[in-house]
Amino acid sequence: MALAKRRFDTLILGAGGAGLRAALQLSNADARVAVVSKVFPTRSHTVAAQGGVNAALANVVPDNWHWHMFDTVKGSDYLGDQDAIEFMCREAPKIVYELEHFGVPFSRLDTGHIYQRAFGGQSQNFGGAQAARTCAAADRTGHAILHSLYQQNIRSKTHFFDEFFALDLITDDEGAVLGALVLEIETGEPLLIEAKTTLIASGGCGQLFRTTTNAHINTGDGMAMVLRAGVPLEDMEFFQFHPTGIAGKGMLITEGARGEGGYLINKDGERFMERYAPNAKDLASRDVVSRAISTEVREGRGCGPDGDHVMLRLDHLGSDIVAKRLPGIRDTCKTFLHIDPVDTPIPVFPTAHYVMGGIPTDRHGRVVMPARHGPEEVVSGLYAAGECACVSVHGGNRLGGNSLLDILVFGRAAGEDIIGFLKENPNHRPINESSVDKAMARLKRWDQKGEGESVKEVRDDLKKVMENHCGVFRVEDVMAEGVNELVKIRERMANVRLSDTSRVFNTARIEALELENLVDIGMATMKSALVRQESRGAHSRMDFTERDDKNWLKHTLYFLEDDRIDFKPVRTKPLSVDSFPPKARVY
Amino acid sequence: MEADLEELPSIEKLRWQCRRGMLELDLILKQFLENNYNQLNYNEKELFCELLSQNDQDLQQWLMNKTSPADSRFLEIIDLINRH
Repeated sequence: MALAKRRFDTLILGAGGAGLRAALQLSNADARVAVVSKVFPTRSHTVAAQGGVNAALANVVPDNWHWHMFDTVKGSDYLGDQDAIEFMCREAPKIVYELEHFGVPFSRLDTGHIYQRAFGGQSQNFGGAQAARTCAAADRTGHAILHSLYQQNIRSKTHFFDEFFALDLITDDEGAVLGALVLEIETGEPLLIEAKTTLIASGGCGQLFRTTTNAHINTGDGMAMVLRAGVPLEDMEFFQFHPTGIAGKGMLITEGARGEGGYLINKDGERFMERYAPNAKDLASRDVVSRAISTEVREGRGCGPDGDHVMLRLDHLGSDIVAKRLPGIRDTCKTFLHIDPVDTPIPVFPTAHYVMGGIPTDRHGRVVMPARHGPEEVVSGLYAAGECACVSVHGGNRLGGNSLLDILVFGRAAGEDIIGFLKENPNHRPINESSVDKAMARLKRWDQKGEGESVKEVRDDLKKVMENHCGVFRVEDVMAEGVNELVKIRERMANVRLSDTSRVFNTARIEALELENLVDIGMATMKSALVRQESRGAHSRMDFTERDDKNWLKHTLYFLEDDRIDFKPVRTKPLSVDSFPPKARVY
Repeated sequence: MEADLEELPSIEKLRWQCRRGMLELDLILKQFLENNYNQLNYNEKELFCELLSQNDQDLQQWLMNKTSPADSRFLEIIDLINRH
């Protein structure tokens, strides 16, 4: 049967906040837009973002975008690109008012203005008093934003391909991107979507780790597609972990539990945080607590039959305090562990939450990579936005309330730039059959029958390797061993077979394709973490405990071909104001 | 199955619809589908399918925060999921 084909001006892969914000910009400009999403759009991971959106509206206390910029640069541990950060912070108020106009029900002050809550890392006057910068729609901000954007897109006639899985980008010999080969999950049939521009907005890759807060859909599909197209990933060593997730499952147990007096113990019942942080103990900073837990487990003092977690005790607090102040945690424990923390300790381990790294872009959302004329040459026709992208506004670490802002600002910016591109490039470029054949081969490989390993076996091992060798405990020999383990996993992939090779709604095949993506992103993460011999932001090395601006104030780039590493400079020059030079980390 | 009953979606299709925007829902819904769905009667199965078309925030409220849905038809299936 001949391959089915469709043509659009723009193809968007992913229907979370970034993809839908870009789609809306384009549909409103009368571009023909297709959005491909492997699940129904309003089930994207954006719904899990409950915190809010940062914008210096100054509704509660004095504020301005320049202070927001300072906080973001400092939070990034000076690895963020300051031109992009300035742009994002200046755009933020406009983005919030636009959302209000789209119908997002922000919580309000008595005056009628949008309420803003204070969050860690927010300051007035460049490191002064606490600021209040986060706009929220109760605790359902992400959900409210996603639903509003979806409704707006339906009204603007954006074309949705729901439950379609993107296989690979189609490129020509000059490297220009011509669209993508996608798979209709229901029928199992491939479809070629030709597009003058392609935007990747496929979200993060938390499923790399055994313990993660991320939904099962977060398998980094877009990031892996970009790697296979010869484009590098940037700063993949920077992954945000939260110190206490439910061990082996990942759901967050908020810091509030320790704030209320909860404490951690190892298998001997020892309150081990006293050894790592004699003063702050269980209230030490996130990275100190995460590393302490990881160290206890590595040194054989973990709990459980596999010794792979520690325990969080709340049982001494009394049922009144737990019921009154920590009801959410109690519900989570009852639902997922069938225990009541009032009388039973909670098994916990650091949980992977957010990837700062991703597809390298400039502040217009254009994908850039080193080429003949410099480190940031535009890949024609290719854009990226959201968690899968690395602009980089988060650098080494992300501030709370800046991720929803990132997806909206750069989703919109990418949409705007694409409108310009479409005016200058009104025609489709001729399709490159060999690129289509390559993408088809990726699909056909899973038709192989016979005996072999299962997807689940290899996936479980991959997640364990990532957690044990590239989690919060990072040291040279452990990561070098991790690279070897990943090489073995790569080799095992060739022998993985599906027990069911049918086409219709074969979700096992989708899971196999997702696993292929995760393996490549795992290598990108491990290799990048191994090469960076310093501690910066969320990347902390036991063997290089200091930040090293002399040697490492630069972005890492990982290429799939030969697992090659390259670097590019940080853009330290903002658009209109003076640079914020690196300062020691004092919080 | 009686002839006048509408055919329910395949288990494969339902498995994909248990993929949600939140990890908590992934785990609750998938586990129920794999372990308990087959033992449900036709009406319960139909309700479960309909439940999957509800939005994630509501499902989270019902299945984790234990608030009751406004639509009382869902009470029974939510109760079943919460008990497993």
